Amino acid sequence: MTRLFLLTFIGLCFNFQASAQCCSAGNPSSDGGALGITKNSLTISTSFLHSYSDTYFEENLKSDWDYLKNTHFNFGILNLNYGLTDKLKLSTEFGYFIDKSIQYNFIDVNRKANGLGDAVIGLQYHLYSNKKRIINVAPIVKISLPIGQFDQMDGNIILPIDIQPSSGSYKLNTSVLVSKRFFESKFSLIAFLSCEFSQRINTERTDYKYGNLYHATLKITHRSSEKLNTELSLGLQHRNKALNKGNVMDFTGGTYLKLQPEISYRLKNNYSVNTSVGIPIYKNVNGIQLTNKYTITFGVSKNFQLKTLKPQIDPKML
Amino acid sequence: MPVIDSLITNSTRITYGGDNPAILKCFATGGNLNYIWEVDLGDLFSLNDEGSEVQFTASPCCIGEKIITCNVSNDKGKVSESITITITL
Repeated sequence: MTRLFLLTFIGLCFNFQASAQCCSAGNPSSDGGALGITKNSLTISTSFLHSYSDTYFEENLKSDWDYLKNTHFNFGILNLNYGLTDKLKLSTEFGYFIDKSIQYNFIDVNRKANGLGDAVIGLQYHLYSNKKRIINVAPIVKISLPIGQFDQMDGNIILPIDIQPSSGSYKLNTSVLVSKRFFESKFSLIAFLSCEFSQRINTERTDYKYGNLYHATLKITHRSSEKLNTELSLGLQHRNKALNKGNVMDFTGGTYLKLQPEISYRLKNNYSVNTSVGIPIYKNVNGIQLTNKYTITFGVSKNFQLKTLKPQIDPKML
Repeated sequence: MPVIDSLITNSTRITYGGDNPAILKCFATGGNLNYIWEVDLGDLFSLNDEGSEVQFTASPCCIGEKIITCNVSNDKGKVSESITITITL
């Protein structure tokens, strides 16, 4: 048990693409999940994500700029995935910021927020399956709904948008998941490509549009034992510059490359646990920005095979 | 109904960073007043218990014009006043 705990604690993550650049609010974006859910199969999973940022970068070099001391957040998420058919999967996601905080270098203030983030609803379609080559392809469409708080206050100050729990914006995310297994091999490959487009926020207080977000992730998985999977992913993320009142914000957006090992372990009764750590290995931001140092994720999931309900009374009798 | 007599600042143009904040003061009358401040990007910090005085700073992300609004309310109503501060390089 101690060994399992250590393994799960040490491992690194793929489920979330978190970065703490300026003006990113709302849920950390998640991947497309697993491929291959069957009809009437329900998977409920919950994850905890911790993210910490304390290093300024000017383009691709560390900067001694010191406006913020650090930012961090603790984020919980509940995912439900249901197989509508053997090829079509419906997914929902609800995020909650347990604690989102900013500390400043020039003033002794620790600004905090918490609350419901965004809700996400998505569809994954198992488009292509080649049993000879063991290749599967699934496109995914997701929509983010800003159901959480976007006007949270600290004392008599309404918090700026980058610390609000909700992004305040509807988002469309399109992605494709490609998996490749090898005969008589314990290794498999997963490629994940995604684009996220945000709707312009246009309220009395805010006229803002997040930059488009692009991800490309390549993950190699090793089935180490019947129950244990070890994984390593390399994720490239690029965010375009944001717009404020129609003007390009030159000090937003950038490119990150992240290495993310993960361990998942299957327990009894269709439970499984996973843990991961995300470490940026390359950062190239526009202008000067605070950048992410690491993320840690821990998740638990359970799969249910729901039975099709059959009528208890013979319809002919009615 | 509260009345905002004036909303003033020591500087309408500041450079990004925490070293040279803009100080804003809202002068209002009406009794039992509640002050709420807002800006879409940048950081506001309350400077007095009453909440009528704040400082404004911003990181490099927020370069450009920022509209800071002071909302004053009491049991008889609410009024608002805004001021524009430009964040420069």
